[in-house]
Amino acid sequence: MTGCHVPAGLGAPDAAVAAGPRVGRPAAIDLPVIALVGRPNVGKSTFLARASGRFAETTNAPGTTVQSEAREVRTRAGRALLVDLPGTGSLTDHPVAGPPFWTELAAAGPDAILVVVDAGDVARHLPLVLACRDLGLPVVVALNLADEAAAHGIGVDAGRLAQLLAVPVLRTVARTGDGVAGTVALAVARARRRRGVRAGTHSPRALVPAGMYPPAVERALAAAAGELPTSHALGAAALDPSGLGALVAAGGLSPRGAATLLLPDLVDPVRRELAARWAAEVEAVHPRRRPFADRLGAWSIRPWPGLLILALVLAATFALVSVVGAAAAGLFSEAWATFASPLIDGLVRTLVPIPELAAALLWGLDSGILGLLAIGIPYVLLFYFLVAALEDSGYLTSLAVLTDRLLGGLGLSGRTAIPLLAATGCNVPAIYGTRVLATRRERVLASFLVTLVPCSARSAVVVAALMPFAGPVVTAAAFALIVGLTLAAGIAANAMLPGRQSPLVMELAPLRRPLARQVAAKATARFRGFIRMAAPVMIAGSIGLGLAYETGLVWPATAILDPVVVGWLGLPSIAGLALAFAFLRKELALQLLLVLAAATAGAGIASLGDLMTPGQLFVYAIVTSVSVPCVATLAALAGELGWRTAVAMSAATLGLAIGVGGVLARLLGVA
Amino acid sequence: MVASPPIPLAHLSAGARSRVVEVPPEDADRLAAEGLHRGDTLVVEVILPLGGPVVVRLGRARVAIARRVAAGILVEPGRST
Repeated sequence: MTGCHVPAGLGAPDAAVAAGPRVGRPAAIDLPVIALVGRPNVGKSTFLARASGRFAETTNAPGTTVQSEAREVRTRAGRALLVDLPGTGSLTDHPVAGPPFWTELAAAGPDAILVVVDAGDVARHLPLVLACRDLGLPVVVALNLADEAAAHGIGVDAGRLAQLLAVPVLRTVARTGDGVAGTVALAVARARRRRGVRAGTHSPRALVPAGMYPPAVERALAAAAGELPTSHALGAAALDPSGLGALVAAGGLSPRGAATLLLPDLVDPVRRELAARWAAEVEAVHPRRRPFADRLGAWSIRPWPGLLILALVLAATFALVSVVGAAAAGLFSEAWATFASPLIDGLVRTLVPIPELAAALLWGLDSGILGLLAIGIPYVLLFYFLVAALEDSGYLTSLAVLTDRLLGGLGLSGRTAIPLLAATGCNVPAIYGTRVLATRRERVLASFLVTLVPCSARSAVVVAALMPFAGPVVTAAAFALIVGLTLAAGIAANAMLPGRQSPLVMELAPLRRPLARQVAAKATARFRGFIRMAAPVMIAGSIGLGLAYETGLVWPATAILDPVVVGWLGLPSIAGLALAFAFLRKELALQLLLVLAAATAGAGIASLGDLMTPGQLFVYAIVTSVSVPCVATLAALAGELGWRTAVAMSAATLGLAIGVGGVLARLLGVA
Repeated sequence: MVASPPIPLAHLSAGARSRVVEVPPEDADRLAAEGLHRGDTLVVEVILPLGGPVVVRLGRARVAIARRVAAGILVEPGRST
């Protein structure tokens, strides 16, 4: 270990300030900034969680927003802001059609860079360390995943590596927190020292020895650095198109650092060569039997036994959600009816003297909130836990490899498997998840498929409508039909949209046992997002629906829908209303049908079986599942892809649902 | 490395070790982002059937490459180890 020097006077922690997530750099607290840089899957986010003592939604999980996150950390060297940047292979990489990575790094305004590398694969990670060091900022290297490297029989001489790099190298295991605090403290000390140098209170010292690359490369770099626009030319954007000149003038990086960003094709091969040489020098490999997780990872991408593993994972997911979720939903509804309902009912009726208005409000405040929680907690939350565990285990990238060929037929790459799986929980986060895809064409195609995938609420409708009255075989047939329709619609959409898919090129994550705290933090963060998104829509929509129902305004509407609902689909007239209002909340399709049926036909109707034949229920379930996404999904689609696309997709699903429903009605003899 | 004429990566069989001699320019960026460059040595881990992706091992990392891209990567087959 070299240079574990901590400047005097930095040991005492400042007054307690609650650590919390902040994006960007708060102006009020002028803390030193440390950028967290590393390749994807190296454990940066876990590192940040350990360093700040708080697990939360991570940045590079597939299917989530890719953005940087800043957290305040307190170390023995003082406080600092730790900024987690998206995973990257090099400083000049372009993440999905955005600006190069270094602009995001520069925007964070770091005083020091903490590079997280894989101790088991130093050669692959060192070029990024060299690139960061070339910038002329203080660099500290975390030799992370040291436990996994040891399990593979790989030992790294951290001291020798630190000597070669001339930067501190510390061993860490972010999953357990080993070495994290010390590494961050050292980075904080370096960052504060640099601040001191810039403020003139510390004397500068050479960070990077000259001449570490071959002379020809160094000469070219020096020449490029000399040609950078000087501070005199600042403001003349034409002279400084990259903005690097201004950045150098502002002290954000060294002229040589700017030159390395301008000449990646020159320095990258040299860095890789150096990395390979140094890696060979510091690594000691003791041949060892591959760990079980590695062998499982290798199996999971082969057709055999990969497809069996995939089938088991899907079956376990489905079983857990349908059995545990259904049981929890039942318990929850009972508890709500016993405890919450009477309370809310009494309160609203006391406070609101107009009976019709009170009844309408209760649609939202009683059954609306119940609907949200009875679907949300048992199905959506449980599902988020499963998806987070799968993500954390690294299995989703194996899934992408296995499904790439199948999805290729739909104009999509294997990456789409991840949002599609998430869509079976709730379509809304899945639509945001399509942001990881490379082109708009893929995002449109994937989002269209997502809206056709039955979410947990729609699956609940299909199961509840068919299981008791038509049996498990018919229920399974309904799901098979929905999957078939989704595939057919995907193929048609792929044929209609111009352009072609961008191919899959993706690093596979190694399989790991998911970290419980990380999974819990991720799942609850996403669940909060779901509640924030869905709650206003469901409660307000239910109140509006309640008003229409309590005032009797709904009945004239049935007459308008009758030709389609009764004539074409062969369903009872009131089913049309339920279908129309299912736009607000898909699971309303069932509840509402019972309410409307009881209101029109009297108390003789106790279950759906009294209202419709099994054939009609089958048509009803398919039409509910396939037709127009719910309002929350529509809003997400419009926000991500624009209203025109969102409305076109909804129209397409509505057309498909009515078309297929009518054909089914004739085949089943109900119309 | 045995000097033999370059062949597309997609034509190798699982377990084959080879050196990359040419990367298609249109895919060079996305391949470089996953750490695959001209001159690298790789080992084919799996070739998925029916035109599925090719999974290669680069050092300890595994990278999945669509068959269409793998067909454009030219490699010099070497000794299998």
